[in-house]
Amino acid sequence: MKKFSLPLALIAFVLSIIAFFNTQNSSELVYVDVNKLLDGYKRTKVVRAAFETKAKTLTANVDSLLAGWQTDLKIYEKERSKYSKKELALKQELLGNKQQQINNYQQAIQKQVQEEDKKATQTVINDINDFVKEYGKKNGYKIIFGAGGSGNIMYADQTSDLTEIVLEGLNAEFEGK
Amino acid sequence: MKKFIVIFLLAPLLFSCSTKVFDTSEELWSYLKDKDNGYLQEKNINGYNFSLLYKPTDLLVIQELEEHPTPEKIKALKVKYKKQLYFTLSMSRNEKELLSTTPKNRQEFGAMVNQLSFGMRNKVHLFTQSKDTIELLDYNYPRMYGMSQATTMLFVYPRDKKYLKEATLNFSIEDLGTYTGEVKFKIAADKINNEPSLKL
Repeated sequence: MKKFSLPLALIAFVLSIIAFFNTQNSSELVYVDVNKLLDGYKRTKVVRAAFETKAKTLTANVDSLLAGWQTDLKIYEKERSKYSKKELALKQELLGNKQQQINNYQQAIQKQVQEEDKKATQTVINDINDFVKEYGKKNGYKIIFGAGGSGNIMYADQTSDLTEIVLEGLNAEFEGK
Repeated sequence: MKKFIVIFLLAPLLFSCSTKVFDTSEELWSYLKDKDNGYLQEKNINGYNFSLLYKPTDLLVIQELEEHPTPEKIKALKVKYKKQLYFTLSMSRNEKELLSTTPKNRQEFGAMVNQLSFGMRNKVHLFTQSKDTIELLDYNYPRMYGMSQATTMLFVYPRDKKYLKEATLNFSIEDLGTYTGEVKFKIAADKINNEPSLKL
């Protein structure tokens, strides 16, 4: 029996240490600062840059259409004295229609830009949500709060802040490390 | 005494690495559908449900088997299907197909049909932890004309041992006009390496 006592005691000791750390982690109340994660996550910058390039291309089309319409308007104002009444009415109608079309196009583009922005932001949020979920599971946390500066966490001790650790892991994963 | 300790310590490791073998495809299906086993993953983002299922080789083999298959036929089919990885991706909103819920007009409907039928190669990606992309071999999108509860597709990738040495594979779906952003699933490579099988 004496032969077994030492190894059994060792196993029991190791198990008790594991159990101690497990229960300690799971009972801790921890949080991450969502705004800091969004700002510090490297993919946010990549996604935002791609969105801005796309948005620039879309709005550039509107700008060139507007410039064309303004040229037409200038020509019309310059030469209006040469036109007959009927021609004037026709030109005005044409300019009005063109302006309306440009307005509609501009609205559609603005909507598209907003939609692209929404998609880009959601992509980054998905990544953060997935990582925090996995981190919590892996480290045995029962709950991880998300502080966003809107008053949902009024006070928390510095040791409860997981933002930096999570951000480090999130960026490492994004960079394929 | 030493033997006892070694067995005591190694037994859990040996059992955890073993592959599960099932008698029937129904048993295998119920094992796969249990999310705790790691073969089915689900996500809900902005009202859209996404689910990804890894299909083990034997599930594809049994689909093609006749009533009394010969061992040669089974072997041939196993060889045929073992070379690839098969994933089933389902997407739905309010338990309806994407085409029934997402497009707002005829033009968007047409664009989405086109996207789902021919353009998913550019929207769905499988890549490793170190960002190596695994090239898509093929995908299949069967049109269900609103009769199904989800838009379901089968994606086929080559089974490359080089990529399966990494801890996880990432399966990502770009935004398909659902405003869900890019949705990503992580698949543990050991789940694929130790996939469950059938007694065939």
